[in-house]
Amino acid sequence: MNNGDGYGIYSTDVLIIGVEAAGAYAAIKASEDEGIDVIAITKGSDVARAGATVTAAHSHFAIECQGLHDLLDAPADTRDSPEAFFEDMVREGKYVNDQTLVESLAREGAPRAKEMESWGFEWDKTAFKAAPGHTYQREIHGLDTTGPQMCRVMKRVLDSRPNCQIMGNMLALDLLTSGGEIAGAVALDLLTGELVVFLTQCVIMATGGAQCLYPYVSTGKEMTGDGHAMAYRAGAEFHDMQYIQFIPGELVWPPGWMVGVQPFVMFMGLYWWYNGLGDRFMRRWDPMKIEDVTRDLRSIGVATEVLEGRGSEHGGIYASFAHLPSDVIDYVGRSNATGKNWISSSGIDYNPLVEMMKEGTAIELANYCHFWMGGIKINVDGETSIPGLYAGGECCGGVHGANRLSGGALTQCMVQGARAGIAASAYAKKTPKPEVDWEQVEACRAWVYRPLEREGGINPMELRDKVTGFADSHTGPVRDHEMLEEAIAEADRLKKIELPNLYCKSKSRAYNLEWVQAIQTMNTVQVMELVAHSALPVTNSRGAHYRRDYPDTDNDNFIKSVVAKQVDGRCEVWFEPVKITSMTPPKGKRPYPG
Amino acid sequence: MSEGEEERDVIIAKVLRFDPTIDEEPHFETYEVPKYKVGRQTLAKVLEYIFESIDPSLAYYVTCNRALCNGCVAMINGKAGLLCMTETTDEVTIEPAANHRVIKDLMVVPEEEDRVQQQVLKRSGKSKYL
Repeated sequence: MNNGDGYGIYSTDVLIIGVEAAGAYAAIKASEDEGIDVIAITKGSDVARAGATVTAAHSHFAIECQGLHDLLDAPADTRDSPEAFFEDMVREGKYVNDQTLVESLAREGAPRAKEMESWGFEWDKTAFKAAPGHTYQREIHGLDTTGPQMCRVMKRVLDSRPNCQIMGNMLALDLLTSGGEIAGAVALDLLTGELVVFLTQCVIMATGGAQCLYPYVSTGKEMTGDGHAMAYRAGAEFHDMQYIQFIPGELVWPPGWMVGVQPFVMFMGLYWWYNGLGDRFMRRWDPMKIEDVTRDLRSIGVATEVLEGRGSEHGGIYASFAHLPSDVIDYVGRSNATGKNWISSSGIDYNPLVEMMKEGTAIELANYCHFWMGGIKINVDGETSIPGLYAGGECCGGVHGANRLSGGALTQCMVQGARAGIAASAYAKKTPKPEVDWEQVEACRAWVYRPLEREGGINPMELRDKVTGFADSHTGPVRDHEMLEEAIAEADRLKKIELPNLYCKSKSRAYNLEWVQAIQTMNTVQVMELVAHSALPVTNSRGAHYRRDYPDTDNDNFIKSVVAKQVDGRCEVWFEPVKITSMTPPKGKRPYPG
Repeated sequence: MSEGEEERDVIIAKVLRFDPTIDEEPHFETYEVPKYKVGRQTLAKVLEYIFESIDPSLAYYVTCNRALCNGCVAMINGKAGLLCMTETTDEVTIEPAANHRVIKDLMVVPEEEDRVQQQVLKRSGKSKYL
């Protein structure tokens, strides 16, 4: 009987996995009680060194203006209210949001923003924005940067807390349970390659989205759905995993600019988009607005061309500025509505790209995965279906429904992170630590170390490319019954045949990125399985989920939540009623986008 | 175009390699990486190519890819810089950031955040966590 020898062992009251916007907020709240020990782990080297918060540098918080005015003393439009924000989110989420979660997000953004200010976060109170879907200008950003500043401010708070410890370079692997309740977690210390066991009665999952299931992402390449996969293996319920936000902003040709291409994403409506046949295909979706439509429709238009073999040479569509005079192109890049000179101030020299465009050359854009609306199912206090497991931020489902409004993500992280931290701290206080079942730890060791121990097999990077390519063509913005059935079969095959054969050529345990890739690829396959199972029974098109075999938005039959969970090694899916508090969904069936 | 003037189609990247669990001393390894004909090629992309297509044992740290996290700081031709923001030249030498403890190759931790050392402290009873 193994009694824990050979592992690094830490005992804590609350373990937080992921320490960016949601996780750090949860850590601050959980450690407010000095009698509660908190450990917060991240697979990045430190806070603000990985994850999607740090890449949200020029992003916004969406916070209702009355609160901004009253609490932050900002000159915001006081016609706005928590109720108006709530209505915008539910309408634009296409009525499948969990309204209890939306109410808390709409009401608690401003008090949290005030709290962040008290920790030293500097708001820019001069510029408010209203992206499509927001009735009022309620998007506010940080001075200097938004996401990175938030991380750094919260890290300072955590550093001053003697009962909270942050550990970087810790890749969480599996949750440990005892009698259906949380008993701990296992992580891999990336610096040494040794397993670390956390003995705890309470875990808060704050691992963000699973963008890297897809080949192109707007985030860093570490968003591999580790938290989703861990929670799924432990038997947690998931909420609406079919809703994933894509944006056609990945520059697939010419190479090298990749995610740094914001100026050209921001002016997407100015491009004329052509498919591989030279057709301005967006006319088929909206003959009046053409390219100047909402993001979900853009991503679905682009995905349709690529899927049906009419894409560009490098797998996207052609975006052209050739209809604009060259001085207008210059002006757009250098002096635009954002008040920012993108071409020279974003750290990257875009001039060669701009010159190309002025000569009339089209660039090629493809969809990148931007955000996960679906995720772990939580209630308003961040409780999941497993006692002792809490979650907050992007890894949770429900609040955004089928489509997220701009600015909602960072507000979600503050509000849900805080609530999960408070609730987890109270739970930890009244709950003794369960005994750890060391056989669960050994089972985790077996699957984690297998790629290192094998002498031959499948290359993790090659398999990752295969999985992401497959996910893109089968579980992207456009789906149909056949594609989803194939994705389910492929996930099953990958789990049975390919994943057990992953092998690392490099055997060193210290910071072995090939090994990390192998583990992450196993997690992304788990997420693909969840997405495909959740999308299959939803036979209508809504928000970010477009079924080409069911192109209507059906409000009579599909104002429903999809819940998925692993039962006896299989993914079981069922419908539950949407949680409605005050906004009644419409009736009827109409062509997408509804 | 006469011989010698022709543009080189590979980048020669010299990377300082050191795995303290195996090697006694750091040593340079030289890699040939195909050069983009058009577009922008940063050192982060050069290292990604080496890791994915030539040598999967290479350790380095790149995540945000847009100068926000500062995690990819390294010595580039002898000067400190960010791998994600530095465009490559035909020949480049990359070494780990100075004044850091090398975990492996270009992966470093600041001395004050050295968790391995912290863990030793905890195991010796100086922390309440064990």
